[in-house]
Amino acid sequence: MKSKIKQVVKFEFLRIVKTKGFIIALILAPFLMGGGIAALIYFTEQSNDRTTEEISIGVKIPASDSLYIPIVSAISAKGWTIVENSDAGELRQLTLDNRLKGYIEYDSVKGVSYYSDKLADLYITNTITQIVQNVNRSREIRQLGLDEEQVSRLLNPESASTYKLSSETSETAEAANANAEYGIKLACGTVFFMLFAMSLMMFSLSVGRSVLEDKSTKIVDVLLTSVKPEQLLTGKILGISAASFLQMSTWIIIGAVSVTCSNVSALSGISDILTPGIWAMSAVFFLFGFFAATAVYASIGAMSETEQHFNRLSSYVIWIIMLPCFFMGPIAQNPDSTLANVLSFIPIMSSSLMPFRVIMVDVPVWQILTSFGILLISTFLLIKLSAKIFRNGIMQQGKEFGFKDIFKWLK
Amino acid sequence: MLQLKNITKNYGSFRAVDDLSFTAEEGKIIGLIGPNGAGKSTTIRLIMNILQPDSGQILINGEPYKDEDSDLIGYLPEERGLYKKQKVSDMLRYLASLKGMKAEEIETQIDLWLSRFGLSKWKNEKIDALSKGMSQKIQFISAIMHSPKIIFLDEPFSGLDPVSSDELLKVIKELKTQGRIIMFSTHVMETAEIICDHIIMINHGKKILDGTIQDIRKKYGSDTITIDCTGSHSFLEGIDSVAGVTERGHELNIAFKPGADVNSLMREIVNKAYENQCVISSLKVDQPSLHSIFVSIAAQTDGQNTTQNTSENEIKN
Repeated sequence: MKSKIKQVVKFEFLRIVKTKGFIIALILAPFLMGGGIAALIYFTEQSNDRTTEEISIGVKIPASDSLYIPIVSAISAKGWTIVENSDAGELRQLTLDNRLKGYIEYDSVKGVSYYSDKLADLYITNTITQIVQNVNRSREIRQLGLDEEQVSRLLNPESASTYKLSSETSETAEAANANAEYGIKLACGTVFFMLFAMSLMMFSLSVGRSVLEDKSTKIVDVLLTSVKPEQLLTGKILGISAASFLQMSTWIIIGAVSVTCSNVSALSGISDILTPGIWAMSAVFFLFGFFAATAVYASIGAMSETEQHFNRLSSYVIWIIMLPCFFMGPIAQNPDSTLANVLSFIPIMSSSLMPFRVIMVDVPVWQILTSFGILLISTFLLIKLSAKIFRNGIMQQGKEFGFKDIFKWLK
Repeated sequence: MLQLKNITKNYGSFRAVDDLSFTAEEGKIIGLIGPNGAGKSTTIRLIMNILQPDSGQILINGEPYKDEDSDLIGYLPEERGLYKKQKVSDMLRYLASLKGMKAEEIETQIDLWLSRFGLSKWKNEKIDALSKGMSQKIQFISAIMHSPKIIFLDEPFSGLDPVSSDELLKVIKELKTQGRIIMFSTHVMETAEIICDHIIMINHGKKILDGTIQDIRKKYGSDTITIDCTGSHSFLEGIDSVAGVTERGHELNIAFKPGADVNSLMREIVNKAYENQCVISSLKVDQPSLHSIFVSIAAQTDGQNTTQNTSENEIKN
């Protein structure tokens, strides 16, 4: 009978792997994803780097005013062109004609004002307001009778150096390194999280749909003359899991090779973050979460009569898998928050969230073990329950089953 | 030999199969017939080991059913099911491997059977490229290619053209001569009448008929005489034993009353016809068709069941 499970595993694995969609996703997805990220980085850098852009700012400040020189010098220091004009109407027209980004006007009553029809261009708007703020601040300080050095120290106070504490190594990482490390961790954690969550959803849906196909095409009657329902379920889960692992490991290998071959210095620290321990822990969490999710979807497939019925029932489970995605913002900001903590203990959710947290912060060992314990026990129980539901649901046709029927079967 | 001994299967409070017993022997085609909802599907699933009986035993060669026995069974379900996106050869390979066949043997059998049914050129085509009849032949091949000892065919001829039906029938007869137990389920009584050696009819989960076609006909006897005549046949109305006459062109179908002596009746009909100048060119005592037996027994058992249910309801009330 074991060899029959092997036959089901082999068939289900090849059934997925031999499809064009799988092959395209296997090879193209990492390149599309990598290309997408590279394009995003490129365009972000392009939009941030405005040193070469020609920026013209209008200025209407009387040359006699004490603000004139510091403001004009600060703007010139940015490499921006200054267009001086005493007629505010002309400056306004030039701005509306897109020949100026905006203009600064000084009025003894209103003070300094900045006018632009492009206030949403925060780079320019913030720079101007910052310049004016600094000029005003230093003027106020000078009026107190302080010398230049004192003014400079007041305007540029020393900041605190930040160090990352570690029980294993001495504190050497300074602020710049810590920030860079955080960035890489966030990227790695997010990639792991998204990869796990998406794979869990995609492949467990495949198991559910495969069971539904068996039921709706009536081939299940033929299959069950050769294998027991539990064996069929096991074979399906293992076969589709194998396809899922093939896809994930291929993506990870392509990613690892790309990172190794690339000269991006920022990525050199990845191997320090993704230690073998994290790989192993993530794989185990994913594996059990995957079995739990696929078992649930298989039972949904067995309960369903049509694709619509399947979609309706599975929408409840998708919420469980995808819930952490909705909270990704706050979780990424503080992976040790109560929200992140609680969600990383909930089975299936923990499969994608706990690896993320472990990559981001030092999660206490007891939390990892407790979360894994909960996942292990719930996976075992879910498989047992799903087998029961599967056995009952798969052979009963012509009726849409609901959760009421499940309780009847589980009695 | 396949034996069902006092099999009962309940779905909650509903009894789908009720104390069913029968024996199916090697080299025989056994027809399992019954109206819709009679319990046929449940019986088939019990024999196929898809469902477990609540009580009773299923024996194969005198031994209780074991998991390994699943390889001895071939099944062609009424509602055909194959993976549409799979190639014909992959589909057959998978189903054969689940029946414990070795890889080399599978390849030989696939080629052999596809060639036999003229489907060799479709070997590497996807199932959804096949016509309904072709898919049916593929499913039939999957049911028999592992040389099962017990073959269950549920409506094997539905959707097949006459040539394909004959082809399939030929194979079924070959399997019979090879000593396989062939169980056959159909709603087409004419087909069952031609193919089956033995008929088992169930209704409301109970066996209501069990025997060879000849035994059943003998048991249910004849109640009609058919004559082919020219001239007035009004004389038939004057014969006491005649219950009714139905005209079918030249033919008259004469139903006679229960207990009537068929030989005396025939003599009386011939004499009266002669007296009334009616020329009879043929006269025969009709053999009851399986169809008419099926209809009458089903109606009878349905009536009994309704009465029983009414009585039960009256008691409950």
